[in-house]
Amino acid sequence: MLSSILPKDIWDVVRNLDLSKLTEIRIRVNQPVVIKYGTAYYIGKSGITESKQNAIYTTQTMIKDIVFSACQHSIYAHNEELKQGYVTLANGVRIGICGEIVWDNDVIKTIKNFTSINIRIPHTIPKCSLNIIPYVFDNALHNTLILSPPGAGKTTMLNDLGRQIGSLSLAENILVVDERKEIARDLECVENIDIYQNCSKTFGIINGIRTMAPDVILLDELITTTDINSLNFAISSGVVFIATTHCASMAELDKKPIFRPILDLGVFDRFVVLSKRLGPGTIEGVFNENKKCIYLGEK
Amino acid sequence: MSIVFGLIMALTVSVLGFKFANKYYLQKRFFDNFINFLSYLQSNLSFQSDNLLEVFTKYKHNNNDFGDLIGKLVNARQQNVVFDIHNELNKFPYLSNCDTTQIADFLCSFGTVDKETQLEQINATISWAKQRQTFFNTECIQKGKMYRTLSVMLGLVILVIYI
Repeated sequence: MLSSILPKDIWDVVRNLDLSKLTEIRIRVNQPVVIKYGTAYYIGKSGITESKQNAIYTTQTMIKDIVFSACQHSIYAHNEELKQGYVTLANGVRIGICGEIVWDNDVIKTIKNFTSINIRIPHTIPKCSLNIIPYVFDNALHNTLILSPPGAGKTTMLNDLGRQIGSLSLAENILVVDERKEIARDLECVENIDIYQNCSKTFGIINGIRTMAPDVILLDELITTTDINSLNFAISSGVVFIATTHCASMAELDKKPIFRPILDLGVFDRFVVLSKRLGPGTIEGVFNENKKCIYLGEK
Repeated sequence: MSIVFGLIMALTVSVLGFKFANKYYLQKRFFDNFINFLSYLQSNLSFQSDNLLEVFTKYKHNNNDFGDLIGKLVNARQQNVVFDIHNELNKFPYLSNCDTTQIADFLCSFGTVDKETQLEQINATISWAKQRQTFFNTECIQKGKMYRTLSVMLGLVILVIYI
């Protein structure tokens, strides 16, 4: 899929890399192309390099071509995603996009004059959630919030949790509300998983509960008050929620005012903290409803 | 002998006349198909918003110049090769430079804007194409029929002269 969107000289370098180690490609206008391949490198004409002099520099046309290719030359079909600053490719590769926002009567119409893009390559790490399964499920599933800073593997963890809950039959019906087409990657093959894609969390939660009768709902990235309100609205419906949010620690979570209502209500009774300390997906610990550590992660 | 020669001449003149008149019928048919395609795009974008390649691939057409052009465009996209629409349209001698430019510009820019703007573009192109269609309808009725009738008449006159 990357081959169809990247310019030839960049793809010629990327294709020779071990794609399982490649997590990010950052392209900014008039700047060298940076990749995260373990650590950060530049992409040069003959391979990855640490020297800026040998790096490939980007033009605005190059960025525009990448965005158009990612949209399959159909901006009109991807504009709802584009308006939110991203486009997701079929295999879950998410392209974050920056540029000039076009407004029309206080409503975002589209983005134009793209200036930078961030291509994030997801990796399925089978069974990466097995260590936390005993804490998320003991006799019954717990409402669980996965906390991690960006790029520390919370979506990968959520994806695997969905797969494990499904395949171990820990819940009868699982609903995945996949706003950005990232979590549901490869989950279609699990028999008891229903997937809402490309819809808001509010729509997914409310309609999902009404129509799909799920036992557990998986959500990625609780960020806005609307997300929290939807969750709050649905929490008394008897459905278990497993969600993620950008947050580095339990202490940081306490400082987030938007989480205050659901923390006060004790909505979540398990918190899984991830970090990049030993690489993305490092489990720092699992905490219970009293914020007490019940599992101390990898040393 | 002169009857045979007269018949050949009459037939040649008629065929030439029909061939000349055919330009007007081809223009009309091309724009009929183009409008049909635009209406299809309008409907697809409004209700399904398929990707460009899907929309173009799904377009069902009888064998005609415009349908073949879309078929070639789809093939080029699938094989990821450059396709010069302008150049391809120039192969249709019955289209004016203005028509070629307008159609090529529309097809080249398709997919580069948001849905609302794209629908506005389609609507504007439909209005333009309908004007051209009306013009070619009139041309077809007036000139096309005239050249056909004239050529047949001329053929008959030649035949009579030879006989």
